[in-house]
Formats: sequence, C-alpha cells, structure tokens
Amino acid sequence: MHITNEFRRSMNWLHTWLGIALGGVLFVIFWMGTLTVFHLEINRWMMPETRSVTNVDAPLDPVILPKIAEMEIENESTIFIGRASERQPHIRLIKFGGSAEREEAYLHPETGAEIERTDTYGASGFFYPFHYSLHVGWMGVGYWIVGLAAMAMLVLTVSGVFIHRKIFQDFFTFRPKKAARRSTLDLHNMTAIVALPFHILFPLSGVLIFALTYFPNAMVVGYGGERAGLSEDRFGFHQPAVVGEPGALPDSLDAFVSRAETVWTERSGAAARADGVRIMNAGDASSTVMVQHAYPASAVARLQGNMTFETASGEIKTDFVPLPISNASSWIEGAHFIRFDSWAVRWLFFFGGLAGSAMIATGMLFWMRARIRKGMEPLTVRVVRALTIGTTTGIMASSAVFLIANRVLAADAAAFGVGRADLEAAAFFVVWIASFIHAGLRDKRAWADQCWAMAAFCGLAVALNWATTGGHLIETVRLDQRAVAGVDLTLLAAAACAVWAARKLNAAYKNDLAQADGTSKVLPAGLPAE
Amino acid sequence: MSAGLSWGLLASASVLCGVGMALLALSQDRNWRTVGLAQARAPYGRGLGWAFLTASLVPVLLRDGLSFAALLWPMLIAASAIGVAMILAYRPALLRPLARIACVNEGTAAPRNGA
Repeated sequence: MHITNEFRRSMNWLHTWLGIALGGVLFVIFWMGTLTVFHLEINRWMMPETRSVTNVDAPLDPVILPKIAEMEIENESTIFIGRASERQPHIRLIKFGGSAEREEAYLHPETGAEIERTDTYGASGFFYPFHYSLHVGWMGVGYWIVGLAAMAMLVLTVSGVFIHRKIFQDFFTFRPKKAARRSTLDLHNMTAIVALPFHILFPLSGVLIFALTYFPNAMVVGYGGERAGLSEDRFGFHQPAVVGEPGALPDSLDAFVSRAETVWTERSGAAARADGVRIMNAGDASSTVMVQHAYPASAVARLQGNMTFETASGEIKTDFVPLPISNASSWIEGAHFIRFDSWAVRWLFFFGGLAGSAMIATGMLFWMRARIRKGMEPLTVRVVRALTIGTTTGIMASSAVFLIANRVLAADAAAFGVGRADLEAAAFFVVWIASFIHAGLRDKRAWADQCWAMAAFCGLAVALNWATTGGHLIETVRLDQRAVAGVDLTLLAAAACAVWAARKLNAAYKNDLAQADGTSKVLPAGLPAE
Repeated sequence: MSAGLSWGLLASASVLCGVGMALLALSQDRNWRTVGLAQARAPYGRGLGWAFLTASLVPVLLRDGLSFAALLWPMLIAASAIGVAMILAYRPALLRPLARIACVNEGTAAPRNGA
C-alpha cells in the first residue's frame, strides 16, 4: 500500500484531535489501570489485618458450614464463598439477594474467625473501578466515556503507526540531550512502538469485557432477548427458578469442590483449583451449588469451568465446557484481568502500563509545546498547562495521598456525614483538585513542584506503613509478606523516579528562563511528523 | 517445573532477547556511530540480531507454553527495546563488547561503509 503525504496529513489531523480530546481521560485510565495490575497487593498493604498468608487450602466445611447455619436465609438468597488464595489469603463470605442487605465477611481460612478489616475501599474498590468507570456512576456515563476512550485509543494507535515513516528506527531512538521538543517526541514514539501489541491488546480487551454493557442487545437477540440463555452458554451460569418450598442446605462444600476439580484436572491435564462456590436459592427446594473455575492459575483464558450440582441430591446438573469461540474471547479477557499465575507477565504488564502512561503524557506535552510556540493567549496557555499537569503528575501524587489517608485516619474516623472509606477517597479527590489549582497558580514550575510532592508522598506512605503497622521492609521480607514489601519497594522506586524527574524539570525550567528573551523559534504550521 | 528452571528459562529468554535487540540496534548506522567503535560494522549483524530474537522465543515457549508466550514474548521485546534505547542514550560504551562481535576486522574489511 502506497501511503501518500496527504493520507499521512489526514492521519496526523485525526491523531492530534483525538489526542487532545481524550488524552487526559486516557492518561487517567492508563494510570489507574496500571495500579490495578497489583490491586490485590495494594489491598494487603491497605488492610494490614489481611497480610499474613496461612494455609489457603484448608478445608472449607469446618469454617463455612457453621457460618451458613447461623445466617438468616431467604429462598432467594445467594451465598458466595470466595476461596482464599496466595494473593488474597482469606475467605470471602458474601450473602445477597432477597430482601436483606448484602453482607460480606472476611474469614481466616483455618480458624474461620472473622477478620476485622480496615474500613477502606482498598485498591480493588477504588483504583480498579476508577479505570473502567471513572467513578462516574450517573446513568453509567463513566463506562461510556471509558469505552469511547478505548475506541479512540485504538484509532490513535493505528493513525500513529501511519504517521511515522521510520517505525524500526524509532525502536531505539531516544535522544535526551536534544531539545526538549525532540526528546519528548522520541519518548512518545518509542514507548508507543515498542509496546504496540500492549497498546492494542488492552483497549481491545477492555471493550470486549464490557461488550454486554456497550451492546446490551446484540448478543441476546439469539436468545429471544433473554440474558439468562446467554449467561448459560457463555458463562455456564445457571440461575434456578425459586419454588418457594423449603430445601436442604449443603452438608459439604468440599465434596462438591473436589468432584469438580477432579473433572477439570482430567479435562485440561493441568491441576485445576476452584476459586469460588455459589449456593443459589439457599434453603429453597430448587437450590443448587455452583463451583467456579473463573480465574485459572495455569491458563491465560479465564472461565475454564462452572459445575452446578443439585444441593439435595448432589447430582451434577450442568457441566460447563466453554466452546472454542467462547474460549478465544476468554483468552483476550483473561489477558486483561491478569489473574493467572505468572509474575513475569504481571510485572511486564505493569511496565507496559507505565509505558502507555508515558506515551500519553509525552503526546499531550508535545502537542502543548508545539501549540504554544505557534502562539496562544497567555491565559489559555495557563489553563491548558494546568489541565495537563493536574491530569498527569496531579493524579499520580494524589494516588499516593490515598495510601497516606489509609494509614493516618483513625479506625472509626467519620466526618461530614461519611465514614472512613469515603474519607480516604475524599482525600484523593481533594488533593487531585488542588493539584489543578496549584498548577494554575504556579504555571510551569508546577511540574517540578508536583514531582517533589509525589516523591514526598510516596516516601511518607512507606514511613507511615512502618509507623502504624510495624511492617518496615526488613520485617515484611522476613515474614515473607511479599505483597507489602513489593508495594513499599515500588513506592520507594516511584519516589526516586519523581526526585529525578523533579530535578530534570527544574533544570529545564531554569534553562527556559535563561532563554526567555524572545529567541524561541516559531514552528512551521502543522505538527511535524518526524 | 521447578522454580529454578523456571527462573533460568526466563533469564535466558531475557538475555537472548536483549542481545538480539542490541544487535538490531547496532545494525542501524546512527546507533553504530553512537557506540564509537573504529571498525566498520559487519553486514551479518542484523541477521544475527533476528536470530537471537527468534531464539529467545524458545525458552519462553518451554517455560509457559504458547498461550502465555503470546503475552510474555512481545512484552520481553518491548522491555529489551526500551533497555537498549536507554543504554544508547546514556551509556553507549556498554554496547562496545557486543559491537565487537558484529564488526569487520581490519584486513578483512568489506568494501561497504569504509569507516
């Protein structure tokens, strides 16, 4: 295919405008998504009561059955038991459905004692939903903005590839000693091109995961508009109809779990471990027990099995084997969830996320600089710069504040009519908003200021973890609390990077001041492609 | 698979991938000049680079199988490329030992490049 200059120019136009319109949102999604890679590890850090790993394979029955016997159960109740795992070393016991409120408890996997955990959303309840809903709940607008941004990301990636003539050369081109404009573009091109498969995989799989939200009708047409049929075929999820007559509660969950695991292990050839058990219509005559294999350790594809038993008779009711097309979809989705057992992939995806964040930030920065040189009202410059700074360094520094708030708030803290967990989130948002105001006031100097702030916040978070839990690095390594040690080390590394960036930015600012005598060159119209 | 073997395969994949990427970078004139070796670069450097890169897929496949390799390998390539670019930007001399295996020795100099 011959690429004309006109085509390249039109791609450049598309790339520029989509980047301006959605670059900020994309950075927020990428940054929060990057933190989400380690959401379970950050949870351990934020809920010190759940840090120590015990025997996660202890039998369920002695722990769960007495708890279920104590529960007030209606015929419509579903009881979900999330099994303990290395990354999540406690059992989650959740009851929902019927007229009662949802109840959730964390249980010690051996003793069954309820863990009085810190009142926090944790990373799973804050960073995680941030990256797919932006915490904009109203009419599901957040999901749609993220979906739109993901589609834009794919268009940006493809148009970006067409803009560049020298893809292969860009692999290794980073010239930090050249002019800031040049090295910014180098970094943008390099982070974009080397991680190209990553930049395509993640927005694509993200859209796929929410396919039912974005296209609620397309997939259920074949099932007469009923979601239940789709849920059975695609997810092996079978919801029995309530009969309204009393039925038995299961007398053993371990028996069901072990039967399902035996079948799955034989089928796949790799040791399968169920990750959850669901008692549907608990106490009703229609009750079933579903054993789930939603996040296999040894496969990328999620959802490798779902086996449903009749609670009363113990007979297998449904045995879900994913169809090939379903499995292909599950592979793409599983790659996004990263719940499988591969620390190498998890870390590389974390760095991929950082590379993506750097790509988006440098893209915005490059456009802003080029635009300012072409001439822009001083007030507009200030606003655009404040928005860029707040969106990038501002959100990074605020994320560390979320961790700080988690460590300093008292266990029963409450203010302004909200509880502790909401106060942590409020701390994040207050600092984030403040970062925009600060950037507006301090203008260019805000870059370095906020990097210094981030370095200080990250260091403070590590110190506070030590002060409030006694879990300094030597201790957490000694106790083999890898999640906590990993979060601390990553915070320290982030602090070091922030100090380095702050010093560079400060030097660049002083350099700018020295040169600010009207010698800045005006770029020719249109953004240079190379 | 034992943890040791698993780490060993990952390490060898990383090394092969990194060396492959470095050789590919050195096969470009600008990067070759950056390293600052007196000799001209040999024409086989690029082929050698591709060979190393392809070879790095083998330990990844042995370690995790195709399904995981499809995720791990492209990310290893990305990490290696960024690593090589950073070395070229800040410490290009580190690539000299590698450049020596991909340069033309005096006396046998090929007619091209004529450095």
